[in-house]
Amino acid sequence: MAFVEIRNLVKQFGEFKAVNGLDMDVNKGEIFGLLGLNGAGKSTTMRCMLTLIKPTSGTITYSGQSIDEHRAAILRNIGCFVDRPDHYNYLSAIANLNLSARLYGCYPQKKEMLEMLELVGLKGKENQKVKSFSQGMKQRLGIAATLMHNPELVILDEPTNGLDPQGIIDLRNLVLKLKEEMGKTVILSSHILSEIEMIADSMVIVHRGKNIAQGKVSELLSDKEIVMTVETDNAEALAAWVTSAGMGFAVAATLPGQLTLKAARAQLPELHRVLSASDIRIYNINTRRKLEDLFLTLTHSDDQPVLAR
Amino acid sequence: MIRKLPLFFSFILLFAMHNATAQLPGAMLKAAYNKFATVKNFKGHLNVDFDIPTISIEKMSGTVYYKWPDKFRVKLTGVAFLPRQNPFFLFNLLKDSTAYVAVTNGKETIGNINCNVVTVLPQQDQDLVVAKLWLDPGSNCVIRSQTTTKSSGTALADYTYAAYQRYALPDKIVFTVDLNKFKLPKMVSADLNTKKKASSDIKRTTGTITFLFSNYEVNKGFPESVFTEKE
Amino acid sequence: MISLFSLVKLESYKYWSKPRTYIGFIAITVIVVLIQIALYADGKAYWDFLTQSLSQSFEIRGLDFNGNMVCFILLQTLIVQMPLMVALVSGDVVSGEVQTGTIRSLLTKPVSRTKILLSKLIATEIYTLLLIVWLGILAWFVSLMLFGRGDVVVLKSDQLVVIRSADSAWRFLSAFFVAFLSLSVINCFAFMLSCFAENSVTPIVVSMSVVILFTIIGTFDIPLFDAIKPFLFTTHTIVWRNFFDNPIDKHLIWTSSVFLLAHIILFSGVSIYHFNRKDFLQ
Repeated sequence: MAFVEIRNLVKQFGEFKAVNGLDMDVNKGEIFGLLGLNGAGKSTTMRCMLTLIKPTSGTITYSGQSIDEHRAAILRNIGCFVDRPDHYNYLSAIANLNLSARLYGCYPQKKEMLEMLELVGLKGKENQKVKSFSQGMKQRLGIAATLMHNPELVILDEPTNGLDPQGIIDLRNLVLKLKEEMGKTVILSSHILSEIEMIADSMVIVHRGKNIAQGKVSELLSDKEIVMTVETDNAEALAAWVTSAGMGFAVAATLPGQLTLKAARAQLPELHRVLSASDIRIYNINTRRKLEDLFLTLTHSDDQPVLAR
Repeated sequence: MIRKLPLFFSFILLFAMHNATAQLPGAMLKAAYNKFATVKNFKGHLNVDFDIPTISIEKMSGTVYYKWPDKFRVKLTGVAFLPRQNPFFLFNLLKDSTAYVAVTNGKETIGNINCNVVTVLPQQDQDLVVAKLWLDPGSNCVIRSQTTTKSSGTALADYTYAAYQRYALPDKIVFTVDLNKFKLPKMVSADLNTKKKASSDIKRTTGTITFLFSNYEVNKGFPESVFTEKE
Repeated sequence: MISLFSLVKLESYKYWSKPRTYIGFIAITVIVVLIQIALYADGKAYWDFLTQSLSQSFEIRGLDFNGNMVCFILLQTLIVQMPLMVALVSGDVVSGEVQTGTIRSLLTKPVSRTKILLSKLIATEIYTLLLIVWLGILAWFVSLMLFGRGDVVVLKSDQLVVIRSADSAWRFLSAFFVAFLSLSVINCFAFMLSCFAENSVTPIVVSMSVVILFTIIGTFDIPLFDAIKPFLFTTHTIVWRNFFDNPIDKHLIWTSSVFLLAHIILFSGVSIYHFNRKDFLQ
C-alpha cells in the first residue's frame, strides 16, 4: 500500500476539468515530484490533497485512510505550503512560527523555534517583521513552519519560485536532508524538469489533468532511449539516407529543416557516423532523453501524447 | 313735594345699594387676604405631577418654602417644568386695597362651590396686568385664579383645600398650561421609527402641572438662605 | 486537537497585532472627546437655544447639561459611526486572509473549517464588545466625571422625555447591551460578506452601503417603505433608544432583540455554510 494514493481524481470547474482522472502513488520515505506545465493540474491536485478544494470525484488516501473521513488526523501529520508560503506580514518570524505550530496543537519552546529558524537559515531574524523579508526568506520561513510540528509528510508546491540560484540550491539540499536525515516523505511540484530530476526519487508528469507518465525518475529519465534532432537543408533526403543504412534507426518526424530520430544510446556513435557520411548539409545535432523530449514537446503541441508507464 | 318723596327715597335706596355692591368685591378680596395673612411663612412637602402631552416626565417630590410677602421657592432634584408664577404672589397685592381696583364678575360654580368671580386690576404699573379670582364665599379661599403678568403671561390655577383651609393653604393646586404657545425644538438627532401618538394626545391643547402639598409647617421659620442657595 | 478557546485566543492575538484594529478605538475617542469639549464649552448655550420656546411657558429647573445627557447625545454616534468601525474589522477578517493567502495556511491545519470560522467570528464579537465598552467608559463614566449626574432629557420629534438620574443607570446598561446586540448584527453581516469576497474593501463598502441604504429607507414615511421597514435589520438596531422612553415599550424591545438574534444566527449560518463549501483557488 502506498503512503499516499490518489485514484481517479477529478476536479471540475464548470465545464473545465482541471484534474481529469489522475492516479498517483507516493511511497513512504521518498521524494516525489509532480512535473507539469503551468495549468496542468498540479496545484489543483495538491489543493485537493490538502482539502483546500473538494474533488468532484475520486479518492485520496493516506496510509489507507481517506482524507474525507480522517481529515484532522491526517493533516496533523502533514506540513505544507501551497503556491507560496503565507505569513502574517505584520507579525515577526517567530510569532508566525508559533502561530502555525499552535494550530497543529504544538506548543514549542522558544529554543526549539530558534533552532528551526537556524536550520532554514534565518538565524537572528526571529524578531523581524515578515513584511521586511525577501522572497527567499519567506520561503525559508515557510519551510520552517511546515516542519515545526515534525510532520511525516511535507507537501511543497513550486517551492523554488522566486528564489535566487543560491536559494534554489539551499532548498534542494534542505529537501534532501528532510528525506535522508529526518526520514520524511516529501511531495513537491514544479514545471522545471531539472529541479525534479535532481532530487526526486519518483515522479509523475501531469498534463491537462491526467498523469501521462509515472515512475522512478531513474527509469523515466534514463538515457537508454535518445531522441536526436538534426537541423538540415533536406530532411527527407537525410531520412531516406539514414533508413537506407539499415541500422534500425527510427525516424520520428520529418519537418522542413529538421529531422528527428530515435535510437538507443549505444547506437549513437554509429548514427553519428552515418550522418557524417551523407552529402547532405547538417547544421546542428541535438540529443535528449526520451522523456525530456516528451516534456518539451508538450510546450509546443496541443495533442495529448500517450506513453506507457 | 310729598309726591316726590318716594322717588327721592328710591333714589337713596338705589344709591345705597350701588355703594353696597361696589364694596362687595373689595370685601371679598380683603376677607381672602386676611385669611392668608396669618401665614408669615410655611414649609411643606411637595409632590409634583405632570400631565403635559408633549413632555413625558415622572412625578417628583421636593420641599416648598414661602415667606411673606413674596418669597416662594420649590426645591426639587432633577429636571422639572414648573409654572412660571408664584401661586401666592397675588396676596402681596391684595394687602393694600388702594393698590387695585376690584370688579365683580358675577358667580360661577366650580365643582360644588358657587364662587364669586372678581377681577383685580392693579392701579400702578407693575408686572401684574390683570387677575381674575374665583372666591369661595364660605371659606374665603381662592378656588381658581387666572393671572396675567408681563413677565409670565397668563396662568390658570385651581386650588383645593382640606386640612389647612384655615390658613388658606391649599392641599392641591392644578396649573393649566397652554400648549399652543410653544413647540418642541428640532431634534438633536434623527428620531427614527417613532410611534404615532394617541389621537387624544394629538388633540389636546393644554396640559397640567399639579402641586400636592402636605406636612405644612406654618409659621415655624427657616433660614433665609433657603431662597438663595443653589440647587 | 486545538480547542475553540485557544483558536479564539490566536485569532484575537492576530487582530490586536494589526494597526487597523485600533482605528475604531481612536476614532471613537476623538469623536467623544471633541463632543465633550464642545459641550463643556458651549453646551449650556446650545441647550438653551434648543429649549428656548419651552422656557416661555415654564420655569425650567435642572435642565443643565449633565453626564447622563451628554452620554445620551454621544450614544447617537452609534447610529452611523460604530457600524463603520465594526465593519472595518469584520469585513477584513476572512477576505483579508484570502487576499494575503494566509487562509491557505489556516485551512491546511488539522482544524475544521467551522471551528476556524467560529473562532474568527467570536474574536470579532470580542472586538465589538470591547468597542462598546470603550464607548461606555468614555461616553458615560468620563461624562459623569466631567459634567456630573442628572436627569436625561430626550428630545424626540413629538415629545420630550425626562428620565430621572436614579432611573438612568439600568437604562444605560440595558441600552449598551442591546446596542452590542445591534452591532453584532452588523458584525455578522460584514463577516458574512467577508466570506464571499476575496478582498477587504468590498465587504466593508457593501456592508456600510447596506446599513446606510436601510437607514435611509427607515427615515421615509412612504407606504411602500413602511411595508418593508419591519424586515430591515437597521429598523431594529436602534431599538436601544427605546430604553430612554416613558413608558418603555418592552414588547418592542423583546421583538427587536429576537429579530436581531435571528439575523445573527442567519448571517453566521450562511457564513459557515458557504465557507465549508468554498474552494480556495487563490
